[in-house]
Amino acid sequence: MSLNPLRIWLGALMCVWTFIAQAESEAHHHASDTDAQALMHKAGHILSQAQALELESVAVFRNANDLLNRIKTLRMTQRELAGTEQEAAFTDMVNALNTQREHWQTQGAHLRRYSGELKTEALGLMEIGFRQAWSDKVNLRGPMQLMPESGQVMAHNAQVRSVHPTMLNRMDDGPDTRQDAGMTMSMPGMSGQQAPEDLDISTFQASRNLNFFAHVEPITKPHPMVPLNEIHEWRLLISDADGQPLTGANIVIDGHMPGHVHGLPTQPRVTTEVAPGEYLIEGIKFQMTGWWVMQIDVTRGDIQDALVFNVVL
Amino acid sequence: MIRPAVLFLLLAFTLPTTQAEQNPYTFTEADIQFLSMFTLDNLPDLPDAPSNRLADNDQAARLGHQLFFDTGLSANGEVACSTCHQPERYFTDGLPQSQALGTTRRNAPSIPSALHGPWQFWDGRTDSLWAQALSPLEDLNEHGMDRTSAARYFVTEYRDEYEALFGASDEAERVRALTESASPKQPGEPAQAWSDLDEADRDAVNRVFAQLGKVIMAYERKLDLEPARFDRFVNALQEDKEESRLRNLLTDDEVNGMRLFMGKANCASCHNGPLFTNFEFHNIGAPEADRKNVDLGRFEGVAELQDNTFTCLSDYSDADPEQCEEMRFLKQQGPELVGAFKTPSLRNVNETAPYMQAGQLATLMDVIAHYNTPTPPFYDREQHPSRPHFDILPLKLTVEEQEQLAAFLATLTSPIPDQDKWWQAPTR
Ligand code: HEC
Ligand code: HEC
Repeated sequence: MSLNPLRIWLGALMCVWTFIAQAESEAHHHASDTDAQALMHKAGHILSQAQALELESVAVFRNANDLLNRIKTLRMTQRELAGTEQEAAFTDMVNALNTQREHWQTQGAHLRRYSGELKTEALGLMEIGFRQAWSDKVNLRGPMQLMPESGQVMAHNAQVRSVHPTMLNRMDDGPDTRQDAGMTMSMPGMSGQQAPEDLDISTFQASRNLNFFAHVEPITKPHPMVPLNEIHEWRLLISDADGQPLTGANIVIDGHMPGHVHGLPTQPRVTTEVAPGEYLIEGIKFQMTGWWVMQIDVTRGDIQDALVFNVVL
Repeated sequence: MIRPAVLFLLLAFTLPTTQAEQNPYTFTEADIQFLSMFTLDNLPDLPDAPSNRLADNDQAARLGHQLFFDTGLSANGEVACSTCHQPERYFTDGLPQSQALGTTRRNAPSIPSALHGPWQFWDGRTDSLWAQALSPLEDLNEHGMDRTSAARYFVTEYRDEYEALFGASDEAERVRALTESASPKQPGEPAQAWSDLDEADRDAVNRVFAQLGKVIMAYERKLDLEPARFDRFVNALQEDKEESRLRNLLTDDEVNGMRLFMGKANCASCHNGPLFTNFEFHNIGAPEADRKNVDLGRFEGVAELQDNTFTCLSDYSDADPEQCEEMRFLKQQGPELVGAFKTPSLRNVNETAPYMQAGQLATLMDVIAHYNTPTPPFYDREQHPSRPHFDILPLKLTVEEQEQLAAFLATLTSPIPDQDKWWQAPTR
């Protein structure tokens, strides 16, 4: 174990604080003194820091795990030493190692949390940037939501579990049902695809390798909301990492529900670039409520990157 | 010391909850709200049909009514749509596979409950009722008529009615002048004759043929369903929940079957909404009807849609291309399409045996037994592009529960509307 996780952790903490402080002052500064691109640029920096911290947390967790395995072997020796003179000293040592392991575990968790906080901070900056740069195009506040049903209520939104052939042997559980409070009837459940509580459902996202920033929202009247089982359009705004509108990108859209083999019932696509960096996605339809993952692959020149938007309906 | 009155009060408060679990006729407001999503009251208006400007035209519906029952529209003068879609059988024919000039590959579905979905046929190979209607006319196992003769018959036999709707059109005049028996769908002489026709004649025939389909569609859109016992039961729940009234509408077994359908048996995950269908395509592993010639279902349907002459996007449609969203954003690939079929409506299902795409299952109990212990779809690597997916799970229902489920399905039968002229053969 050559690198000292504690040092990494302290270093990381410092980074976090400087960045958060910078970002915040930047954000306030910006609200008055419009410079959306600089804001997005900054968000990009913070995001790469967040990614670095996340990687470091992974390294710390790995160390903690390695140590745990060592401790397990040592515990065996410890048991063999039971009753001998060495026992006490040996036990102390193993306990000390275990305390160290616990520290690392906590540090890893801290790092991860700070990485998460940085990310949220950066996405917040990015959102401000988008709202400034595209003030007339960003109409959605908060995450995407399902349009309150017009008459037809639940129809077609229940889940279907499509079993991949390799999972046939796992079919013994039978279908999931749920019974809501205040009901004597049960109804089809949402097997295996309950969205995690801390799922990132922001409509402002950076691409996986931080090449692009993007925002999506449904283009519906009177408010941007997702209708169920109805083909509708989305607006996709993309900038490069410097906050400049990304023109002439090649875009491929794919949607699926985690835990299901089924994808979208239609094949949506970008039909036009309405204005620089503003793309019209047509043909989107959701046939079920629940957690959808919309992946948008963006290619521009030799740069290829993927955006992921979680939508919980 | 607790006084009897207090005891009584305590009991009164605790009883209803325990009773709710036992008495199948006790429903909460949330239950009723949930059930109301399945009633015909909540059936939306017929979907817009931009590709057929006559879809809601009464005059067209009256003409379509004649055509639907007209055996003159067939090669042997004996087959009409109503041969296989008989009103007294809820527009089905009671056969596993239909019989006319030959035997069809699939089972004839009921029509009144098929008017709302975006796709027609078990594999959804047409995107409108009017395009659908054209296919049996040219099918050699069904009406067996060639396209040119069908078009000519229409503009000759129904000349006045035609002109009232379409005027004295150029295409009608051209078609009346043709003497060929030409069809692109029928191999041999009709196909040869079709390719020998000049472009303008082919176009005129297609135009009139499409008009014929559009008029039949206008008729089909008149086929309403009256409330079934299930709908009346939910209405009664919405009104006063009076138990004796409820008991007159559905029996214990039927109510328990309804609870199973919505819950434990998971049927409502696909068969939902007022028509008990999500209009989607699924593979439930129904026994393969012909293992030597497997049915690829939606996989083939999607391919056929793309070279269908009469889609919403075609020259023969009345829609602007932008209005044809289902076609423009058609899902063309995906392993889940292989062997998948359209979820059929379960309205009137008790009266429309046998079941599944080729009538493989004779009774509702057979269907339920299949869902209870399903066998994965048949797979033949020579014939299937990929291993079919499987969209259902075993249910572990007792025999009694299976019977209750079947009993519930029988409550979805609407009475045949004797007073409704659209459900009778027309008087000419
Ligand atoms: C020989 C029997 C026969 C005749 C005649 C016939 N049909 Fe059918 N019909 C069928 C069969 C079988 C199917 C299912 C075929 C498939 O899905 O591949 C079907 C499917 C349909 C459907 C689709 C319903 C759904 O749920 O997808 C409609 C609508 C329909 N027919 C209307 C008509 C009309 C209109 C005519 C006359 C122009 C007609 N049929 C003539 C047997 C027939
Ligand atoms: C995964 C979706 C799904 C579920 C869940 C499901 N069905 Fe179906 N159902 C279908 C499809 C698709 C078909 C047509 C399949 C075929 O022809 O191969 C069908 C066909 C049927 C038919 C035959 C109808 C006809 O006209 O031929 C009946 C009856 C039926 N289902 C009842 C039920 C019942 C009862 C349940 C619950 C136990 C159930 N279904 C659950 C999708 C589903």
